[in-house]
Amino acid sequence: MTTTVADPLTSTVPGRARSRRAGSRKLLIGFGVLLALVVAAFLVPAVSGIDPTAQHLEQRLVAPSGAHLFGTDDLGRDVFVRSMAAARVDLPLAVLGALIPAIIGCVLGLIAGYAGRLVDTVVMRLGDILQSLPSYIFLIIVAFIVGPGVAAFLIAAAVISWVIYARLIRSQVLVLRELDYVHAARLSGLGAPRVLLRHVLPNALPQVIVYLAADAVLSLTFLAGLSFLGLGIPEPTPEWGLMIRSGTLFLGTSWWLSTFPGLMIVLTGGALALVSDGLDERGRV
Amino acid sequence: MTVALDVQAVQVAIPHHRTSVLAVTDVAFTIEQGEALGLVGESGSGKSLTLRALMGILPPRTSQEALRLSYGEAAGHRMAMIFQEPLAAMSPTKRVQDLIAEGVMATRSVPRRAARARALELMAEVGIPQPAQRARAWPHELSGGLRQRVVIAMALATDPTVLLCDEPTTALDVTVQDQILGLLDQLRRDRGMAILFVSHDLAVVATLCQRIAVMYAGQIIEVGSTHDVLRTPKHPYTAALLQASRSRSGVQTSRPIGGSPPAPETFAEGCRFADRCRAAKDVCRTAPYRLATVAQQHATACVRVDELGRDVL
Amino acid sequence: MTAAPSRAIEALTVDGLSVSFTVAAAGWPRRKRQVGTLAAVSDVSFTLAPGEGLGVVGESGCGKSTLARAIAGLAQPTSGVVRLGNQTLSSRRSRSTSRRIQMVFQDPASSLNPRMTVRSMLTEILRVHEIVDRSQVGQRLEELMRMVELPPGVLDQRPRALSGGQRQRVGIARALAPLPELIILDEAIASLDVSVQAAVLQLLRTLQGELGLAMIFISHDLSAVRGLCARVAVMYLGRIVEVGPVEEVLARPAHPYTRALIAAEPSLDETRLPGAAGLAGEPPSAINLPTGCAFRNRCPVAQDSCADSVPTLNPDAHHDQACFFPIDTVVPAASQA
Repeated sequence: MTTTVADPLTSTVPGRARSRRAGSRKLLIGFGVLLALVVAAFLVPAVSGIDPTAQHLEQRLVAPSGAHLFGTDDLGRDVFVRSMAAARVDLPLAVLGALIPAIIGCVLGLIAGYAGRLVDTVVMRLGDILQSLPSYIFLIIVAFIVGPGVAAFLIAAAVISWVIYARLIRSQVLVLRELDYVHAARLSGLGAPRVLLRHVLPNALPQVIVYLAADAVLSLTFLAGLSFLGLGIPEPTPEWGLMIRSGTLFLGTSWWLSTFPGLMIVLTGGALALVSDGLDERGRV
Repeated sequence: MTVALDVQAVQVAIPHHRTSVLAVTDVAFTIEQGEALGLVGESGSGKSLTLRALMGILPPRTSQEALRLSYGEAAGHRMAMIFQEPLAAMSPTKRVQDLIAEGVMATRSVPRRAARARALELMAEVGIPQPAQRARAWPHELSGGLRQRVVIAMALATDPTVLLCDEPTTALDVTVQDQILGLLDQLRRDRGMAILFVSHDLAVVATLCQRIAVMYAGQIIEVGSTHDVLRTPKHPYTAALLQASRSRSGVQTSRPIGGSPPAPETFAEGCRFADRCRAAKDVCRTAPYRLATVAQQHATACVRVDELGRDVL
Repeated sequence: MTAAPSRAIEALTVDGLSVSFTVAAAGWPRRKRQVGTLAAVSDVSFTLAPGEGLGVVGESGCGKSTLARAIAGLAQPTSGVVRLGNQTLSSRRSRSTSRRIQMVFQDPASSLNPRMTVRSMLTEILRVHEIVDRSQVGQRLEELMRMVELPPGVLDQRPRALSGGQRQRVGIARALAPLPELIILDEAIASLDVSVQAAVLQLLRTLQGELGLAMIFISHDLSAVRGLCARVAVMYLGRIVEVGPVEEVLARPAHPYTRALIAAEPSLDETRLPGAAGLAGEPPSAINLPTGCAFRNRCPVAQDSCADSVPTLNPDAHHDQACFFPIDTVVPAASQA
């Protein structure tokens, strides 16, 4: 009795390679959209010759058309030009609103994770307390103290969001500090700052960068929310949240005022999310 | 003696950049009932891929380009496999008795109650002390040696005629390794089961197996009885491996084998060991692979075996 | 051959070293409940002369790695001292004392920083300890590579590009870089292929001879120890149960555990039957050890009296051992390949 099995399978399922390639594509699209936004932010006002803050009261609330792609607002300003120009404010602030807490969080997380004991407890409990505060209420308090504007946004973002970065880094440090190469670095007589900066941080950073891109989305909506509440960027600077806010008065009649800046936020957020996803799937930053 | 498993061809491709290359090319052997064959090779030699191809559990992205095998006359021919890391072979959410009973039910249509009773018998057979008390234990509660015994019981539950072993003792302590090897030897004799035992360690294989096949760069380069392979190796690689094992224990010193095994994408014509072989001549780089019989039950792929004679050692 | 200055090498003394950990389980609500004490290393004493090699053998959980880490300063001893010459080494060590004892780790995958090249890894150490003049760093790096028999091209590689054997050689180079007096190898060859193991052992023998380094070679593998060390200590559940010259201990093991270890060792002798060691069971947990001799539950010659007190190392006729009923028979040399 002889059973013969012969089934030449040719399934070259490129598991990790495929995910890496998909990651690269996401990165490409995400960065492409962001780059296009930056270019448009500078090019559109320049090329069209339309000042995003210039008022044309004779052309108030014109519906989208060939002349005004996204229509005009209640002061006759071109919504398309303003939507593009707003990226100049929103993009850097979104990134800064994630980057500043990331730096603070990394430093505190490294110290907490490596020092352990009392330092760890103090830093992490402080984080717990800050995280338990409702962020918008905290923001209103900050805005009340330092006055509405960019500074209020950055301070509020820094104070609230560093906690997640600190937790992220700390958990990585707890794993990494038990790895043999970190032991070896300590045995070689390297001081704690050197071990942390040269041997621990570089290996914990990829996770942070992935999260940073995702956090920029939150930071963006936070900024828009702030302006929406009237506590962020003051008029007449073009800014998406602010534009949505001023559009709400005319939502029933002139839908384009709030819709287009809203879509811009969705587009930017989507692009940032793609970047974050792409970085994650590529596995290496 | 009757043949339990006759493997005529195994070829496995692994991915390389955007294409794939063959990592296992020339593998053929037979195992008789009640016989243990050791498949020895260093990491990357293709021994584990061979085993996984036989079991049909190749890792993702690898593909099986050819597999021809036949079972002998043995009734109920079946293969089962045990692994290096026993915990990975057990579902962590099932108690050990149920893990073993599952195998019983998968093979024969018996009610759960009967399968559980059979599981207890198997636990006793693989030397688990107080099986009734341990039956309700979770895998993580057991020691490494007991886990490996449970995995062996899970394999036995399917009444295999061939047991494939992928370095099952590498993760164990020396005294526990000895116990597991003793258990496998006993099962082989009691059940007449054939064993294919993959390991990087010649000494472990020598302890358990009656025959040894040596793999290098995706090919079986020597096969013979354990006695013959250890005492009169007929391939320079086998000889070098033996010397390495001996020099490790300081019994004798030797020049270590220089270089490292070739990667599958660099497999060349002729003998793949030629670049590291002290006895290599031009003929070695051109002669095609052929496993030639040099003595009864002893074959080598070395084309210069006749010229080398005892110098191979 | 070494451009770097040589330094005086002093003897290591380990005296009554114990390391224990408190084992706690999470209780409810959020209150930790102490389950017991894990005695990883109990009352270990030995001395190591300059340039001497000591093998420490035992099964997993016997405390050999914890012992290594305690000597290196990576684990804090509960009691006992580690001395190098006249200097007592605490577990908090200054830059200049940490230099004196270096370690090579088991897993070549996790023992090298994946983001650093070999060059930056080693340069950092040379600079911190000011081993050589700044201008001579490059030269010294190449010399280190020569010592571990690696091509100088490896210096500019990251660990990912290296094979297991190469990584382990880099690990040895890193341990050699600060000019230590003692190197502890913690299962440093266990994860390598046999042929690579043989080559790395050969390298270690050469280094030992050339540099006069003291070595503690931690292994589960008796035969590997035999090729490198003059003396061997056998550990079981945190204690040294037998210690003496390797050939002595292998030929005439006095402790039943040593005997079982030797019998269980696979060898290239096909006439040896599997399961011949005849040792049942596995080491019990090191948490809340049984009274008396920790080996008595598995011991083929245990008596009731073994439960009464913990046996200490006694100078036997040949070497030190810790059994109340030592075996005094000669193991035939044939059991070793």
